[in-house]
Amino acid sequence: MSEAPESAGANLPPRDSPDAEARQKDERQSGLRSSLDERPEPGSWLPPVRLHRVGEDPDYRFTLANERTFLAWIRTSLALLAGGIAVIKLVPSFSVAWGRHLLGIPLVLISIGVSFWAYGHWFAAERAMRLRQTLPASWLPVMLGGAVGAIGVIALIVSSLGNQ
Amino acid sequence: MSKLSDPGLQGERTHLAWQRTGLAYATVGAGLTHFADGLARWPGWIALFASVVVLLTGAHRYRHALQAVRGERAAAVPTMVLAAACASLTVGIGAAAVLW
Repeated sequence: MSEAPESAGANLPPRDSPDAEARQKDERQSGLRSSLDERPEPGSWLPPVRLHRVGEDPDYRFTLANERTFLAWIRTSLALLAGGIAVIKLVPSFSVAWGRHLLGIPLVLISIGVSFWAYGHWFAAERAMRLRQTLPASWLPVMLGGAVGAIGVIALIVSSLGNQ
Repeated sequence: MSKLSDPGLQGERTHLAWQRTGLAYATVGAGLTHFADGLARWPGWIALFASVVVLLTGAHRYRHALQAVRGERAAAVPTMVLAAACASLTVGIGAAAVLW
């Protein structure tokens, strides 16, 4: 959002209306519609396709790095899912009857949350790079670390109570 | 040959990242088809299908990245990223539904 003082706008040459320029910039940044866009693509109502209309292509290395980061999150999600399945289906039951589900259910739920979050984060990062903006920060890595640590502590406690 | 064809091997690293993800899908798919019976295997089949799609996408991305290195367009593939995320989400929810 451009928040230039009005006095500055008054000094610009009249042919370059600052309002129109700001509106055009806002439209570009919103990513919904760009008056500069000359080649409408099929299926442009999909959010992914709209991404190409915002800003300009970043360095290809940034795009690929963002993609690899996304894939790493998806693998993290799949690993959590595999862990959850393994705890529930492979581990012999603990003396605490609900021990396996206490460990497995949070793992699967966190897996669902991570894969849901991963796409939004990839999209926000790609969009920020196209607009030359600061990359989005997130609490998810901290929360994920804490959650997996907590599950580890619970696993230690439950397994130390012995098997059935 | 004074210039490197792909400095930093960006394309290759991305290709390998897609391959690892495809193998992760295959692992989860194998687990879900092994530990479920009959129609309850559907999350596993989805994961195995996603594995194939992700591996093919990796090969496609490699070609794409090499084009980008040569100065042609280097666009992201939001549809494939969205598809990979949706597949993971579906498999996760499906596993949760089937296992309990």
